[in-house]
Amino acid sequence: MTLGEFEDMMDSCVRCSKCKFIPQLVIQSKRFSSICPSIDYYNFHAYSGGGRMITANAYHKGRVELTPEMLDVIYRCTNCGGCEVSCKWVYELEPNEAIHEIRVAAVEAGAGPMPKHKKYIELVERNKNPYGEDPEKRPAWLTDEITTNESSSTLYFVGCTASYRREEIAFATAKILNSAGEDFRLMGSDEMCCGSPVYRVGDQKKALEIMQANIEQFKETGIEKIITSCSGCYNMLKVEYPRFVKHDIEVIHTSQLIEGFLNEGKIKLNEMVPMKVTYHDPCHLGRMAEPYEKWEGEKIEVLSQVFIYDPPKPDRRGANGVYDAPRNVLKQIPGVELVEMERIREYSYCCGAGGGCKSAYPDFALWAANERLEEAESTGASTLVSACPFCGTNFRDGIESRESSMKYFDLTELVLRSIGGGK
Amino acid sequence: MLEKNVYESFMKIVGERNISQDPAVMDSYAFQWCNEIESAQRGDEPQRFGVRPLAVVLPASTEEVQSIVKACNEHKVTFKAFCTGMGPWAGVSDPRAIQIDLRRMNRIIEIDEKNMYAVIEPYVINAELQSELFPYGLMHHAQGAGPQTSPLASHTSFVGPGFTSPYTGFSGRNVLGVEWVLPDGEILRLGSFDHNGKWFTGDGPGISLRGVMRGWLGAYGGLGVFTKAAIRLFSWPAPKDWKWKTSGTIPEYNWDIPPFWKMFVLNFEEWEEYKAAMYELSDREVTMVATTSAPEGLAALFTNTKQEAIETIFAGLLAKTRNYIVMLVAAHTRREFEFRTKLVRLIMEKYGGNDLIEEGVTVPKPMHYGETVRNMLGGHAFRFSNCFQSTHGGMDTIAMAVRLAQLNQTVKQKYIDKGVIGDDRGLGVWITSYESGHMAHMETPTVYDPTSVESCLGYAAYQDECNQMDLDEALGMPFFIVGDDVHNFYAERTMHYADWIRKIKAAFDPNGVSDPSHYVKGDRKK
Amino acid sequence: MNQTMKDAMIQITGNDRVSDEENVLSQYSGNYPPSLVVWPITTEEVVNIVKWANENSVALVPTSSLGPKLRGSSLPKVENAIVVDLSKMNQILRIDSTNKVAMIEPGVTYDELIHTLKLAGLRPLMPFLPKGSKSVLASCLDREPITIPRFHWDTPDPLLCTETVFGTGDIFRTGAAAGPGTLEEQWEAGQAQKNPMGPSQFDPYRLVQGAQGTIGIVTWISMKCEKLPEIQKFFLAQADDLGDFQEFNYALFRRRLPDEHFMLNSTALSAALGEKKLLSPWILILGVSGHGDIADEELDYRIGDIKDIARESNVKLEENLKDVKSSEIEALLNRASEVPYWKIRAKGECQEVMFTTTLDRVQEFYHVFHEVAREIGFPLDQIGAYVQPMNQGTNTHVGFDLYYTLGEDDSTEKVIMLLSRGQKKLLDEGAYFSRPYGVIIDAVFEKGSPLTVDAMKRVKSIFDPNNILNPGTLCFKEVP
Repeated sequence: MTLGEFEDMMDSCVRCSKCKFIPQLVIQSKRFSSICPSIDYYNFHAYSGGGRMITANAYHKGRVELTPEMLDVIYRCTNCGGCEVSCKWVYELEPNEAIHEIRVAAVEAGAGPMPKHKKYIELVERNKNPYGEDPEKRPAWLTDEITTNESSSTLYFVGCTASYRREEIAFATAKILNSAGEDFRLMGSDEMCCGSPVYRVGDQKKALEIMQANIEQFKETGIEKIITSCSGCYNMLKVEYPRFVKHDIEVIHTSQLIEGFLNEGKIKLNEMVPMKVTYHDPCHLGRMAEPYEKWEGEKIEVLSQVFIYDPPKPDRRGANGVYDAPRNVLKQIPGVELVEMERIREYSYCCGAGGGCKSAYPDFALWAANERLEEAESTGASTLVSACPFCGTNFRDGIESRESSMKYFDLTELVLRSIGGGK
Repeated sequence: MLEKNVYESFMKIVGERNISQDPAVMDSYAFQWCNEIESAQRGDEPQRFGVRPLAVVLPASTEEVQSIVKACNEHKVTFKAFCTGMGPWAGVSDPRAIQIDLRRMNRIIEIDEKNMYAVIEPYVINAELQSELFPYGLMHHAQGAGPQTSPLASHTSFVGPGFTSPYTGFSGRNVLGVEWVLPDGEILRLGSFDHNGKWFTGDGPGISLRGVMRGWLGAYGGLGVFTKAAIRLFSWPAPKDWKWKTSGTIPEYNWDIPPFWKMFVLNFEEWEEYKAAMYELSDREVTMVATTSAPEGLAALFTNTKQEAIETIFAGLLAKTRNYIVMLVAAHTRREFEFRTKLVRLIMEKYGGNDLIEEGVTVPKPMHYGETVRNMLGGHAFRFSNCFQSTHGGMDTIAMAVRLAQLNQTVKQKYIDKGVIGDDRGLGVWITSYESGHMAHMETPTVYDPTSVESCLGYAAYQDECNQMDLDEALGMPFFIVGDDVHNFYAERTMHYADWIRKIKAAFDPNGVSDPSHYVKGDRKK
Repeated sequence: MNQTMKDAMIQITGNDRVSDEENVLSQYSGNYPPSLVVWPITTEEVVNIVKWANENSVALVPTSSLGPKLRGSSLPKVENAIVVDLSKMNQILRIDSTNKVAMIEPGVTYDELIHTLKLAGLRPLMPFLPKGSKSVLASCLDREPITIPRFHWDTPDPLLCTETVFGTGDIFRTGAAAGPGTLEEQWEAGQAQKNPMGPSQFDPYRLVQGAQGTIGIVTWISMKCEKLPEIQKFFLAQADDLGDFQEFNYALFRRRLPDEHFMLNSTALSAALGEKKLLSPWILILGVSGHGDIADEELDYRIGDIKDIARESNVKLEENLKDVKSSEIEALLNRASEVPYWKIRAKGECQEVMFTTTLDRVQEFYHVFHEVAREIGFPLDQIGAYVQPMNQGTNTHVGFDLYYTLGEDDSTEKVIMLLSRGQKKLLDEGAYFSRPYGVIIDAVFEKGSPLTVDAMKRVKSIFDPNNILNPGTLCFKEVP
């Protein structure tokens, strides 16, 4: 899609502000009623889903140029998709898609992405990761305790953050796979960034190159199934890749995999992990994890001015994200008491890190993490659990900044403890 | 662009972070739903981008609002304040105008549980206030614009029907104490608040200055800025331990219906029977909701997607539905519930009606009960084409509402036949009663396609014709009869009311800086 | 001047409806006696009077009720005024039982209206036992609290639309009555002048009401009525302290179960009943009704729920107290007072104090006022109290009546002192005098922000630019 193809949609925004709040039926308190970290932090309407759709529309119509402030409007957004879930309660609009397209347009016009983004994109190209770490050190987390099978058709795609910043997740994932007897291989120093940070900031061309290269590499090595412990990687491989590069590789997130292991009795959660936890749904594992289903059909005017799609167009409303698997796993860990936050599942509040914000707007990312942490704390839980290394990094920064007594763990870490492999 | 010194004077008030003049940011304020209709009515090309403000400011306090307004007077800059800001009346009209976005003023100042009022700031939204009131067993009157809109805006500045109107009335009648930054920058405090800091009434001493504040329609932001308002609250008919609880995944949520609640959709073959039943049901205070729409509207009320609504229509709902009333018996006790439900059935039988829920024609799920009281059902009308707007709107009696509905049908059908508005066979209305049947109003929600010039022009022409009809047939004053030109058109046959409003405007806005586009310009100074 | 004035008025109304006779003028004497009394019977006459007054800078004091006048708001405060007595405009213009509304002129009194409404199956929303000569329209314009709070939605209730002649001489119909269309066309279209708001973007009815005749002269109003119940039952309860009723009252507010709902102190109830009764200090009165189909079942459910609430909040509801039967109370409702007015009958004279607050503070204010009375030496058993616990769903009206006899035990002096010191004390303690009368007026307007007075004057200058209407009233001190 291009901005032009979205014009009718962008013209149809009624500026109702539903995009600023969680779907209104599920609002339970004033404190936790909002869905969009960006509007919450920056306040001008342009910083909401609808507001960005309007600014994108204004740009498309040639009313405005890509001023520095407009670029901030475009990029101070985690692209979390929350606005779209709320919008679609009523409208057939896709603000999050429009936000992505205006980023693409900004890059095409030579104005985007932001300098910090450009810098990490260079690092991705040079070092295969946005952190600029040595590619050779990618598997540095791997210990002798872990067994891999380099001839396996199952790949554990570790991802940049778990490889370099959240090694404990990579370790826990691998240990769990071993305990379950699941054969897997790694790409080691050949593993390339999934492209998420490049794609999310609108550098479609480079992102596409990365996607193609990765798929090629997967095919060359005979990969049939990819396991990912990162929600961002999961989203790219499962949802975004198929829009641009054909592949029939199965993509599975650790939460789903562990749920399967438990169902099949491949692992046993024996050790007590006594803690009250609350679970944060990562956007990319939740509402954004719903695949784009290809649709072909006609638009029919059934009543004057009222059109429907024949056959019905699949709704992409966030209903089919991975919500239950991590919860089902948590509930089976002995000693764990799961309490829910007010904003969960498709209306979960974003951690603030995504969409290039953690690098370009760290103050905003940290603020959003603290917003979410406050909600987590309000449940009375001692521990926040999620299933995404990038969310985890941002939350850990938040916990430190607010001197919270809350602990953060990835789902895999708790599972590892409970199967007796944790410290 | 504002002059540098003027911009800086605003910046000093709100801080650098809370002011912008970037064109793209400004465009997110210039763009408004129904600008396409107003531009069409003026004879321009229909489009949603309206006048761009020269700056947007985000004040955090009454004092900041006051300073902004004073600076506007000093520098001859007009202003328009809004809360969530939905519709052309929220935008500015003057090329030298700033927008005051009240988003940062979002506190619930006080909930007086016993005396049943809440004091709120502009950007508290209906769903938030509701959520905070339930633990006290209270609710407020939430306007039909939706759960994401501001009750303060509705209570102080805008027409305010809602789904629970039979029980919670009309926003303009539920206002107590108010804090109001007048167009000249002075802070007026209405009623008891001015005397003892308590908000329990907005009237007196002597005359009530609420009389210049809003009228029936509200001043649409044309007479200063309301920074705090106290509003009446009502009993929420649910047990103390009941909690607003949802589960499930979009769009199929579940919601815990309180005990002693039951919905009815009473259907009557003819308007006469409908009318008699509507009077009696409203007079007898049995229902929290008494809403009438088109059969097509019923299809949208209790479904979750457009597809579902359309399927319901084609599954035969239209053939079985005539003039119906969506009712919600929401009782506090079993005794009250049994009496009310019995009486509802008796009235239904007395006037030869049938219950479409009982007959399976429409099936509200528990979540639709929740949507009803969260005032979400009106939004469902947007599902058909992403857009609708209402014509008519006069408010007086149930009899007038019915007459309006009857007369409207042929007019509407004409535009349906032209293919420019949604086809509801001309039956598309929205009627509700108020205050135990003491009043009623009727408006005509009409679907059009905002992306089609032809449809926008067609809808605009339809609205003009509705307005003319209301004038000719004495059917009350429609919504959106605001702004000098439109006022002139109506005032000639309505006791020249606009002359008085112009005098009020002149007395309270001597420099004419509070945007008059959807209000009036003041009389020129003599 | 007086002869010119008289000639001009005769020109407008004819000879019979103008008087400058001393004994007539003295009945209307306030700070000053009027120069003339005129009795218009049409709106046009009112318009002509107002226009003439503007041209000749003469003050007009509109009034509709006949005496005794306890508050003095409609008596001249300046010299050389004309009293415009509307009591002869006394038509009930329209009754619409379907829409529960009556349209009446200023001279219509309660007993007349009640009688006519009854024939149409309606009853008015009205204050407790008003004086027989009280103009219904004036009562509505005075924001007199009604005994049935369930139907008191907004402060102006039961006032709906009006026809008003502003101080400028312009006729204006307020609310939906403004149009579009004539009244006849509106009726034809099914309207009944029920929407009091507007027209459009202002609410002139809120400006005319509470103005004590300073904004416009109202020539008719439409007023909210209710269906006559098929069946009614009354309940009483006694308490030493209003606090004992508080939980019960607050719980009841939420439910809109009873019709009549108010409290009297024993002095006021005895005065109303016309004989001294043995009662606890406070009596709560509830009227419950059933209407239309299954009226008896409605009554049962309402009583059942009220009794549950009473039980939970430890209030003992009784149909008859030892010394007072509920039938005696019922006989005081839905009618005007016999002559003499019950407030006068008690001791020959009466002065009123009234203010607005919230229910939780009423007992406190009662003590405060008693305290001052005790200091002054005014007998506490001559202070009647009426508490209408709920107006506009949120606030409480409190009225204290000071019954006294001229020349008895310095009582006039004590009453004057109590009115002054007692009200001042109440004001200082936070009582809100939303309808200020008499000696407290200036203090009330000083208590609020000067901007409030300024805003009121801006309004006044629009509707009565030459200050001809009841000058010297409220904060409007300017004279024509």
